[in-house]
Amino acid sequence: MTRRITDAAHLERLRAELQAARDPARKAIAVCAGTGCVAYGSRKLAIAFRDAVAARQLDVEVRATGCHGFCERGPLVVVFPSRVFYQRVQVGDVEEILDRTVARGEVIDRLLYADPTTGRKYVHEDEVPFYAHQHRLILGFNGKIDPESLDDYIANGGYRALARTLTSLLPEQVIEAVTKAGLRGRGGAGFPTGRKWALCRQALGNPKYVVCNADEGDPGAFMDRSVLEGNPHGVIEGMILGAYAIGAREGYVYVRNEYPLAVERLSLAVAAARARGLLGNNILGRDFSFDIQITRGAGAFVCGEETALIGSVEGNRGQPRFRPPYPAQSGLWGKPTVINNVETWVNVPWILDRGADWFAGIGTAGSKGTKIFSLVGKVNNTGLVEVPMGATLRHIVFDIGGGIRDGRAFKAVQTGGPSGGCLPAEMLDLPIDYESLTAAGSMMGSGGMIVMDDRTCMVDVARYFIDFLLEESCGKCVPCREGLTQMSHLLHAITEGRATDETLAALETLAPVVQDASLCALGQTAPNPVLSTIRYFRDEYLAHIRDRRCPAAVCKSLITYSINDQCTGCMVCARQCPEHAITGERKKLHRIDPAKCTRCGICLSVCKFDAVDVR
Amino acid sequence: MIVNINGRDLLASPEETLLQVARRNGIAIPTLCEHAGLEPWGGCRLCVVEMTRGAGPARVVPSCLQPAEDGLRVETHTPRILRIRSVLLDLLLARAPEARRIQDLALEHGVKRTSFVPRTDPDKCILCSLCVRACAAVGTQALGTAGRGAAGRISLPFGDDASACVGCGACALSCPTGAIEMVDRGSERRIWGRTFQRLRCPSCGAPTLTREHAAHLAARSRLPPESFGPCERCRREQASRQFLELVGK
Repeated sequence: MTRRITDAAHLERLRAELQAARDPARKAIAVCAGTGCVAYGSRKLAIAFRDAVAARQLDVEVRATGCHGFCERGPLVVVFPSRVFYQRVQVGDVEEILDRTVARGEVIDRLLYADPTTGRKYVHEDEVPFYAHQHRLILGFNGKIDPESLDDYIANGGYRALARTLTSLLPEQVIEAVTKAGLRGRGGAGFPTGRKWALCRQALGNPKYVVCNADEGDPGAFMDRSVLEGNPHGVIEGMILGAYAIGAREGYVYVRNEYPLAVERLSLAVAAARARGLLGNNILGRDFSFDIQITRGAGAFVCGEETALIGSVEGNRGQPRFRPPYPAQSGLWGKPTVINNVETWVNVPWILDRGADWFAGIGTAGSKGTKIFSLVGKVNNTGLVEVPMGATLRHIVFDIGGGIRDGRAFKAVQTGGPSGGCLPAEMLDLPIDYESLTAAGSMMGSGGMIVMDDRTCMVDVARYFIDFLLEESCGKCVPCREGLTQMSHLLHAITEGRATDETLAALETLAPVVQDASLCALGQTAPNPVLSTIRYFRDEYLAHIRDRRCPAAVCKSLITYSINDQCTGCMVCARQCPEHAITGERKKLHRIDPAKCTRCGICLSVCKFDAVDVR
Repeated sequence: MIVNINGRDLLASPEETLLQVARRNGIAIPTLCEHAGLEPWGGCRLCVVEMTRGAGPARVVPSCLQPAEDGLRVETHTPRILRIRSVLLDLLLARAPEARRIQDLALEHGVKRTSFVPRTDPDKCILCSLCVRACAAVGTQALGTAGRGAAGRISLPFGDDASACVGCGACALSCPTGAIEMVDRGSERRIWGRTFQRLRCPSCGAPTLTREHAAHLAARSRLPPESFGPCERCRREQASRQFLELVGK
């Protein structure tokens, strides 16, 4: 099993054997084993399928796959060869699926996905609007393979790009291909990957290193996690190709320890690749050696910044330093280092397998390929979404995301993580690429996308993100550490009804200084959520400041709860109120004592008669 | 190579930073976290300047870290830079209202009192890390930064373990804001909660290094501890006497 793969021809023979042993018509059940589905109990579900298949002595393969992306509907199950797609599958459904769908080819209506707005049901995965509108280059692979099986990766074309590259391309040609493909860093800044590699290859210094940045830390973002968990060999293959291109023998994956499943699967994959000679000395019998070590990060957000990450790998404080020198010139232990994000690495094998022209054919003039977004917030379909660069926000939020939850109105979408900007409805037709998002006052970031509805207070959103970034600031430079402290004070003053027009003016004076003077991208981009909300939602700021009113009824200091005449006197709210602020007799109008009310909102959520008002 | 600063073409070498080139030519740029004997840090950001490369846009960079390059155009006192400096000093004044150096610099930049919310627990320390870097340069590494961000603080290991401190005083002497208390009384020195005994100069009797500091230097230099015995003044006198004897012969 663990025989070393001696050369490229051996790899192809092995692939042919593996593919021949697979019958495409064979019955199989794919259970998603991504983090979301695991949390919903998909591990137990896969075991239940395996036990039931064994008990009935069926010839059915049960496969635990990587994340399919539609995490909200988990656990997800796909039945092959018919490709029937079931969602929210429970252990109790196992027998029925085997009896009806696997044995007789029937479809179980109850387990199908129904569109929340139209009610229409869909039988196959690729028909579900959430998937049908995507271009699932990277994520498509996740659902196909068992991330814990190297054979599965090889059978699906894995390491083919590596074998071809090592036998037919010079390192410079690899760099040329990546440059021509137009691949740009997926970690946030969008630096051209080929140029970074060329700089590192030309840099003096030995040894050289490649690093995979898997320190994904944006609240609500989980695309890198899903790729690492679902397709670890794709990342490894990308790193081997990068190492070959720049002339490195050692690589590091810096992954946060809060991603236990990613660490586990990556460790398994590295060990498997090493056992088969795809990592280590003389890879595929060539004069090229490379190995990967995994470094676990302790979860500091700032360690996703490349110079802080390098410091952390070296065992120092995770603090950014000034560039130049850039890591490509002087990185890990002062040696030339290429650092790329997980999603960037996993794109590399595709470029070398399918060709630079093919890759450059996807996307826009300046931004090539696909981008994975983590679509969360008040949309109907939350999950991981992969679209070609240049897709519009409207396409993602409405066609894929299925529009806003509970029929509410769209208000804003925040792109690019905590230091991204909030874009209003007028910007929905913006084609998403690196330049357009920056011009609109936001950024690509690593691909977080948080959708907000009309019940979201934009000032409160800005306050939340500034507080998050203040908490995560490393504290090295004054504008970020002290500037964010003061921006937080100012925003709290606004949301708590203590602000004047000067408060807003102070924010507008301070924010550009934090942008201009901060040491690293954390501080330089931190004012984005504030400046973009002031730019697009100034009225809302003014309502807080001048009218002491929160239009979205979110900011607790500025709202009051009251009971209107719809009240039937059912007493539910009075019983649930933790402060005993609600009084009234049975079947008579109730009353809220504003002095006792802490504005927790429990009465609003328990009232069945729309009798609670918030203003 | 030539760097243009404030309209003047100045000779520079690639090993120099913009701050060094400017200072060498009498152009004053304020700094707080910089020390000529230590590696630049880039934390206080007061030394920012506007830099233009070719036809590119003017960028704000810290001059203490930006290496000189041929053809760079640099402006050290534009309205944008002055605004950044005054806002930074305004922010620092909110943190360290009692620090003399901050008060003076702020006043020079037109800030009399902070426009921001002052800290409820004013701290003279501005986390510039000069003390930590000086301590590391001495070779003791008795100090570090604990905590993160606004909650960061300069600290001994585990908050109170001063066992690695040799009482050299480099931290207190390098601190720009007087945040580190060091008290010398007779041959006694108190710093970081520890009391050190200072050696006395064998010729004049003035207190010199602490016993621990002399031992530390001796161990690092492999010279006998006595070589660090005489005080600065006596050592100079000795040297001049030797020189006089040499010339006299």
